[in-house]
Amino acid sequence: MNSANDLLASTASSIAADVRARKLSAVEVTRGALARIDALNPQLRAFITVMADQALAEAAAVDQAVAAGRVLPLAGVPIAVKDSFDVAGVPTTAGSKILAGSKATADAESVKRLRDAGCVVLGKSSLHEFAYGFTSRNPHYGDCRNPWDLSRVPGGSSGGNAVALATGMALGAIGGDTGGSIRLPAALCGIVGLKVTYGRVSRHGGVPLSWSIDTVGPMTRTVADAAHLLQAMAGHDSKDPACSRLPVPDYVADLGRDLKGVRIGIPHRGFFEPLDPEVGGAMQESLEALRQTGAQLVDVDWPSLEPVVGAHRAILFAEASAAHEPMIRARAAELSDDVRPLLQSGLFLTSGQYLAAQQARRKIIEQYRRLWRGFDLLVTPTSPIPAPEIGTTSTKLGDRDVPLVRAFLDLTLPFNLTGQPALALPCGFTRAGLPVGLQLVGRPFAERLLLQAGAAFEAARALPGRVPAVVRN
Amino acid sequence: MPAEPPEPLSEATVRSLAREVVRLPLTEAMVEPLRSTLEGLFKEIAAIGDADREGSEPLSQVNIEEWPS
Repeated sequence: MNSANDLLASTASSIAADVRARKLSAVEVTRGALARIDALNPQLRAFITVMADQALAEAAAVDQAVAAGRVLPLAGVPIAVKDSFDVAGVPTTAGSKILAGSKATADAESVKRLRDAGCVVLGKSSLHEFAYGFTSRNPHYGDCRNPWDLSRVPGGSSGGNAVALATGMALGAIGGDTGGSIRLPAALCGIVGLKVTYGRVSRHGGVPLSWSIDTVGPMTRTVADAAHLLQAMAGHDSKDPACSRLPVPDYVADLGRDLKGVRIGIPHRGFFEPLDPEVGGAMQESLEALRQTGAQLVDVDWPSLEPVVGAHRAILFAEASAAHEPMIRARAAELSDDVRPLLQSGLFLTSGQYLAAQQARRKIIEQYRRLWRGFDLLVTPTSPIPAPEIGTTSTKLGDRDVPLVRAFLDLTLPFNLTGQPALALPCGFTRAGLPVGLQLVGRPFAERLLLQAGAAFEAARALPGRVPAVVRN
Repeated sequence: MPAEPPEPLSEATVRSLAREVVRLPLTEAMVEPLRSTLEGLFKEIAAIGDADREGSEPLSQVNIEEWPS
C-alpha cells in the first residue's frame, strides 16, 4: 500500500487505486502533500498560491463520493495547476503582479475535468511571467529553483509544476506548452511532460500566450500517469474554438506493449549535433534502450530549423502582443525586465510578417508530414544541456556560444509550430546528478502510440529511483 | 514601419518607430532592451524567407489534421 506521507514512492494511478479501495483516504494523501509543500515551498517556490483549506475540503468530498460508491478514476490524486489556468475562487496571476487582484469565478476546463475525475487541487504553481520565458525566474513571486541543485533553474515556463512533481509535493499537474514550456521543465527536473496535439485538450480558462500554438497538457512522474490524466483531460469542448471533435482513444490500453513494428526516426542534424557530452552519452544509452523495446531505429536527414524558428517567433510575438496589448500600453512598467521587451516588440511586427510566418507554417507542416512517411515516431533530446545556473544567458555547444533561448527551445518549438504531440521523459543523469530528458514526437493525434512508446522506453531504460537531496535533508 | 528595418537597429530608430508608428509610450530605460530584442527578432524572422511559401495560404488556427500512418 502507498504511504500518504511520501508521494515520491507513489504514482497517481496507485494512489487513486488505494483511495478507491478505501485503503487510504484522499484527506490523508492531501495532508501529506500539503506537509511537503509547507516544508519545501519557501526554498523552491513551486507554488504561488497554496489552497490548503480548499484542498482538504475537496479531498473530504472525494472520500465521501468514494464511500457512496462513485467511481473516480483519479480519486484523491493531488495536483498542481499552473497559475495561468483558472481555479474558481483564487487569483490567476499568470506570474504577474498585474493580475494579482483577479479572482477566477469558474474552473478552467482542464481543471474541471480533472476534478470531476477525483483530483484534488493543491494550489497554483509558479511560472515565468505570462508564461513568456523558459527559466521560471520571477521577480514578483520569487525565482522557482531546481530541486536537484538549488543554484540552477528548473526550466519554464511551467517550472513550478516540475518542481512540485520532482519533490513529491504533487502527483500530477496541468501545464501549458507554446514552445516547450511543459517539456523543458520536465527534462530539467526529471519528470514526464506531455505536449498534446494542438486542439486535443481544451484551453478554455487559460491566459493566452499564442492562440494558434498554445496547448494544455499533463505533467506527471510516470508515463502511465500522463496517460491517465490525459484520458480525463482530452476531448471536445465547445468553449475552445480550436478544440478537436476527433474521438478520444483509450490511452491506457497499449501501455505495457512492446514496440515491434514501430519505426523511430533519429534526426542527427540539428537535434543531436552538438550536445553537452553527458547529454549525448545519456542519449546513446537511451537509443540502445529503445532498440530493446523492439523498435526499428532509422536515421533521418532533417531540414534546417532556421525557418521553423523564424516562423514560430513571428507568430508567438505577434499573437502574445495582440493578446495583451492594452496592458502593454498602459502598465509596461509593472512587467518584469525580461518579459517587457518581448511583449512590446510584438507590436512592431507587420501583418505581412505574421502572414508570411503562417504561410511558412503550412509548408513546414507539409514537409514534416512527408518526412513522417519514413517513420512513426521521432526521438530527440528534449534539451541539449542539463539545467544551467540561475542567471545564465548563453551556453557552449561544440565550439559555439549559443543563446540559452536557442539552446532550450530549438528542439521543442518545431512541434508547436506543426501542432504535433511530443512527450518528454527522463533518460539519465549527469555525474553531478542533474536529470537529462528525451523527447518522443508523434503524428498529430497519435498520443496513444506516443504514450505506449514512452512507457516501453521507461521500462527498458529502468532508471534507478533517485530523490533530490533537498527532500532528504 | 519598413519591412526590413536598417541593421544595426539604432535606439533612435526604435524611439521613432515607437512614437510615430506603434504609438507605444517608452521610458528611456525601456529603449535599449527593446532595441536589442527587436534586432534579434528581425534577424530570426528573416529566416522565414528561406522557407518555400509559394502557393501556401496562411494556416488558420483550427485545422490541424490527422496524418495517415
